[in-house]
Amino acid sequence: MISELFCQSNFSFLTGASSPEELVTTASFLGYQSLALTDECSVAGVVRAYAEIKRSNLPVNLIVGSFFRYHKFEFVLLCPTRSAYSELCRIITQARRRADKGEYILEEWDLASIRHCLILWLPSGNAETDNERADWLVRFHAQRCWIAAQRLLDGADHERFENYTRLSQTYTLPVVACTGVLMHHRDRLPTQHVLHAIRERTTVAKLGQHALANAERALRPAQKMRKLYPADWIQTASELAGQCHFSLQELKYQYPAELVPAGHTPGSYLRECVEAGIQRRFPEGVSEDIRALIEKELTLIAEQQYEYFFLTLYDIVQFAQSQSILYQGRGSAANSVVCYCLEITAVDPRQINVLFERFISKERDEPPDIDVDFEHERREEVIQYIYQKYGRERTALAATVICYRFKSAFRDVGKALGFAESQLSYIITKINRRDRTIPWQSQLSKLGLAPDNPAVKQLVVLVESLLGFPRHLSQHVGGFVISSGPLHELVPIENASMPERTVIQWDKDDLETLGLLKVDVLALGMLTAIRKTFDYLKARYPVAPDIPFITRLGDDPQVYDMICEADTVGVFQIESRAQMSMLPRLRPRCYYDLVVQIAIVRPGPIQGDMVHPYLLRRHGREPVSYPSDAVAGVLSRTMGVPIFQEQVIQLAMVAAGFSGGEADQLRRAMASWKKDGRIYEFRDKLVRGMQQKGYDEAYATQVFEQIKGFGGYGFPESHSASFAVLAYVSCWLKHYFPAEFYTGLLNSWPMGFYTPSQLIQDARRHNIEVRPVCVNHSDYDHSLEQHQQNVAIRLGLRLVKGLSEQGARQVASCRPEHGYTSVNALNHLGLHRDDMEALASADALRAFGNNRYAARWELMDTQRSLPLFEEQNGYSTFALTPSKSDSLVEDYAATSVSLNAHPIGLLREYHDFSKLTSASQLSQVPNKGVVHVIGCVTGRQAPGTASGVTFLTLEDDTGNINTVIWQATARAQQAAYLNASILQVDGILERSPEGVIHVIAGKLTDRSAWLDNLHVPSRDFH
Amino acid sequence: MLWVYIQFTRLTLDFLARTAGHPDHEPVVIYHPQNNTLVQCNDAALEAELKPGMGLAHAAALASNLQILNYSEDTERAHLQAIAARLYQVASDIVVFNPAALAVRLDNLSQYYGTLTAAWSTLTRELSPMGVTFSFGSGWSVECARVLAMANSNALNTDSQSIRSCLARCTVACLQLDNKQAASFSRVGIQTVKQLLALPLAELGQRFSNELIRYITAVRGETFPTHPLFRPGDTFQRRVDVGYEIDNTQHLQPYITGLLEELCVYLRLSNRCTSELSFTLYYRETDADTIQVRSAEPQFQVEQWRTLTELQLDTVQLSAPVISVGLEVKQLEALNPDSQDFFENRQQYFAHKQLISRLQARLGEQSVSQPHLANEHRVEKLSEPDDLPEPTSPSRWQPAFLLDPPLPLTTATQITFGPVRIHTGWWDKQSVKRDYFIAKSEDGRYLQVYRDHHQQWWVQGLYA
Repeated sequence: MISELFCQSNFSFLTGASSPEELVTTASFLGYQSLALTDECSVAGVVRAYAEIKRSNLPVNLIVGSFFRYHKFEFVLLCPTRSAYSELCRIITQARRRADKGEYILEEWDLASIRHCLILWLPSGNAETDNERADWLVRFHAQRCWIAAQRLLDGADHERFENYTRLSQTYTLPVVACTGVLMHHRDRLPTQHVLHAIRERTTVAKLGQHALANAERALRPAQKMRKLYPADWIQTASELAGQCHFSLQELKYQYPAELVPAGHTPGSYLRECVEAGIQRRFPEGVSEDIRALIEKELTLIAEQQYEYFFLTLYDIVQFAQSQSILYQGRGSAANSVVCYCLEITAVDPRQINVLFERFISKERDEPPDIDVDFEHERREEVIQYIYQKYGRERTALAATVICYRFKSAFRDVGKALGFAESQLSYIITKINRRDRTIPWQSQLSKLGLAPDNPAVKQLVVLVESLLGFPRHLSQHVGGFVISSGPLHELVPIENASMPERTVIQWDKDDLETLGLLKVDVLALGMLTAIRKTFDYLKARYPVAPDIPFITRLGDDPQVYDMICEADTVGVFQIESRAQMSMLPRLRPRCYYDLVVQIAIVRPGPIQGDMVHPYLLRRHGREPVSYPSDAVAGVLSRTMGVPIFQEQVIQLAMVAAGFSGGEADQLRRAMASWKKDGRIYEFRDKLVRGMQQKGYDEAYATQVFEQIKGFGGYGFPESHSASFAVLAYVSCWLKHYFPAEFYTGLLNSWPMGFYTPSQLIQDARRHNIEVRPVCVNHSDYDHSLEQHQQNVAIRLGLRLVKGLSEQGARQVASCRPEHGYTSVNALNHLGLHRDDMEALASADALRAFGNNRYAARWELMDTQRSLPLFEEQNGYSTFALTPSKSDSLVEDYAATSVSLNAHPIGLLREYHDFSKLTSASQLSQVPNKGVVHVIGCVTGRQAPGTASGVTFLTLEDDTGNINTVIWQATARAQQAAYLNASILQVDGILERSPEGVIHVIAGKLTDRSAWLDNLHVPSRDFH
Repeated sequence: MLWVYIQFTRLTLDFLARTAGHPDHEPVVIYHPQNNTLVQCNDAALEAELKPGMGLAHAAALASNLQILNYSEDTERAHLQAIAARLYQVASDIVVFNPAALAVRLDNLSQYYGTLTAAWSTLTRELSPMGVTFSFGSGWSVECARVLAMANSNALNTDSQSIRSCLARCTVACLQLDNKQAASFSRVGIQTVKQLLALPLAELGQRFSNELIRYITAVRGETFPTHPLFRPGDTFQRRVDVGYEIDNTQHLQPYITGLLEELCVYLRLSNRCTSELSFTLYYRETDADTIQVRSAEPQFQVEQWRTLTELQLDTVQLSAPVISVGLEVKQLEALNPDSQDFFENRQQYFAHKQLISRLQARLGEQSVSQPHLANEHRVEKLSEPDDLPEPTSPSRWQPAFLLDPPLPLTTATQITFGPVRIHTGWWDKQSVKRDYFIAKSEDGRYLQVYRDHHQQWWVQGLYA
């Protein structure tokens, strides 16, 4: 039997040319007894190999190991036992932590301290160094060292073999046969050459003798191995492999013990916490059915042994509560009564009838998924708490494997094949990856790469083979792994690019495979905005609302009226243009409608063609029918149309008889089908299964297409349910306390979909007075000013570009009771000149009489800060005053916002607008009528779901105009389409039955020249 | 004083159009890859609403058949030097502003040409055959003339009144200011040069650096900073990008003729001649080739050089498509038709080169080479010329002599070493998949033999 003890996968970045899955599959096909996966200073690929062996039941023994270089000393460490594995993780962690991200530095101590790992030494061929190394190895590790003999047919085998024999005899070290595999199959040689060239930043042709001379570093058939090596070397390798018993299965994850107080079991403590929560959440007592639900959930949690997971989250949210940090849990297990009682989520189970079982199922054996969103400005406090509580050596972030995508693969392969960089850049900018009718390969010929040219053919093939190859490890957005002992005994830890952050070498799928739990600590801007709004209300009212208060009030028809009118600028989730145009069509009237609304405007349901049937059924224009009761059970809440990711999985289970495990595999395949196409493996099984259960083939095929359409873009109901709470709360706040809500939003910026300018325009359209920045009234943040019965928003100094935060805070905090009286009074604060000038340009010094130009001119005088000149009111000949349009330009330059005039309003004074219709007048134009509109281009969206259509948002002084530009229109008038910042659109007005207005563009005219200097920021979302 | 400032707006494109007769109906742009901006656009590109300053993606979206050439400051400088050298024949005080502008002092020329207008006409007459696009302005100092050129004044103002009124119409953007200074002016509403010049110097002095004040006084014509004047160099060096990839020497001819014309104008104007030209052919991927063209006697006329160059080019096989052509002349002689002693002292100098060039002429260029050991796995490519910085030592199994082409192995042999498997070269149509051995023939010779993927045996080398 053959055992390969040195094998690198593509997790040895830019070296290995095959994935761990391919390697183990091929090794087992070739009848290998064992395969050691030994990536360079890494175990990042081993879980994938392990998962593949488990999934396909492969008869090959996976040995975990790692290859290292220490100066010119090359060796492989193998793990015979669990303690050797811990030792390997420790060595990798130390080497990685010493170096920058992606690198490692070994020290001799690391090697000398090896006690459990087995060492395969790869002699260099230089007699002197090899003797030195052998001396050292025999001195420290005589009992656990082997010479790894490679036969590569590269002309140097003869010398190498002589050297192995000499070293073995001199130092009595045993020899094992090994290849040093880099490819699962010899066909991968070109890919390996390309990776090598990318690594060396050169071309394949220039690699010369540094490149592999042949494909011998592939997995070779047993027969060939026997021909190439002496039998005893092969035998020794097998014996060595036989010593390696360690399996990743042995990794038992232990939660931090300190979570459970003495005298408690995890179960009893969780129950105690839940009971305490019941008192808070249900002060009037808990009904029988809720009590029954709680018991059921607790039983399920106990059976699955998830108590620690819930307790960890409980501990984290308790901290957030103590610090008044707003948070919200979401995910499969979050919408349980237990989570509601533990205050992980605010979704009141009485408001929605969501069954816990739907999300956490014993049969499916998925780990519970709970993400907790925290205020984005304060998440760091939570992270620091976790580090502090559990210590850095027990906490790290999960990794995200960054893979080659089209652009990076095309550029790198192109460079390696010697294509000119400018040509590659040009092609990358020109290739339309959204065009589903013409694949990128076919577009190349139009871009000057002849498809029959062999080099172009190679380019295409190699780009395809490189897609999805891991390129480097990055950090997960917020997935923490916390363990009871040092984490580096479980998995190696390396440095992330962010200082003070460490990541483990496994990503979330790997953690899932091994059943290790991670806690997602994420950041959400809307939570910051909502918390700030609550703070303003707290300052004004004796009883201020909070999230549970608002949800307890139930569905408010007035709030839903506002939502149905798509008056949702600034609220959570349902604020994008696509969401806004769906609102009047779907007309949400209750919480669950919002859950559907959030999930339906996604590429998954849109591409799966589920939106239209749902709307027809919802409005009673199409009958709701189900092929069977089982399907009705899954789809009845969405009127027979699958909208959520969970429904698709459940459908596979009830209709095609998938087992829990299979459904879980299907879920994973869905997420990555574009990358590996594994989903097609399920097609037959699904269709056959459904047919056996009596469904017709057409329906079965339709279900498969829907599953595929969902791809990675379906939205889970469990997340939508939590998002809907925040969406509703933000709408409620916008409806009842708009001034406070806008202020909260503006003070949490950057976040959300809209710029401060757009938010302020929207606030003013809601009749909220917005007051300008002023050194005598503004704080650093935007604030609220009471005036008569109303509240006005005072813009804060944070809006002023070029003003330092420190300077702004100083202006606000040192302000005398009656305000500053002159520029000199401000000068005494010792502000930086740039800060002063920024204030002048923002017109924040208008209180002192001078216009912004004169104020700034005065400030620029270097002599006025000298004490001698302070009191002199120097005569200045400067007499420039800004015109209206100058002021507008300055407003935008200094604060990106203008309260004085809208650019379009200003143009109205200079140009004849009698034929143009403003945004506010559009509702009076008949359907299909011709309209002429003009506005600043504030958004360009070309969603992948709409073939070639661009949605352009124009803003005029009365509101927003939604225009639709077809591809042909855009192509025919490209200059205006691409260049205009102020655009006139002549077109046809279209009004849907629900009242949604779009202008279908015909002629586009670029009017930017009318206001040349004005720069209105446009947010392009391509 | 009166200076005229000439700003060339698309030097690379103009030189390209002139040397290659580049078709102007296709949009062509010069692109600066580091800044990702277009820097020059031809008329067709401008018609397609492309503008300098645009990004590549934006430009590519506007014009589908766009031709893109990379910007090279060195190329622009070389063109500018050529223009300056040409103008130097008719004007003495020239200041070169790299990479694409120059200033000429006009007032001291009027005594030669009669009037200022006549002097300016002489300059434009010299510029006209070069086909360069430019904007210009005239003023009492280089700085003042530059402002007017930047404002596209394109008028020869000779009296103070008209200069002043022209200057008043310019915007601040025409001034030579750094970003910070420009922002300072715009943020206080100073948009025109008139507004700026109306401010007393004392007030400006309290707010801006001395350097800026000096600049403003120069614009106002109150001070006259000195600038180093242009002097023609002792060598001739030009390079021209050919708008598309040329794989045929015949198509190179127009570019070469253009270069030769430029050279001969230069030679004629400087009263010199040369006996050796060095053309360099640049390829996209591989290293450039140099072609020496020699003449027995120094020459200065286009026709003579063209004939010699054509003859030489006929024998040249292009190894890859050419993307640009350079011409360099280092040995310049004073033109002296009476001198007969040309060969006297130079035999030694030319001996080595002449020997090689004679051998090449006699045996063909391909037949004369120096042995190099290439950085290659493939045996037949081992002795190709190669200039990789890391020369590798030959493996021990490589023989001293190679057979090209390899011969079928016909005699019985005994394998003494191997196999060495060479499986590479998939990228260049010379893919190789062979097992090499050292074999001993019956007569005792050691042969390098290989078995190809059809299982056939060949002899490729002999061991010494």
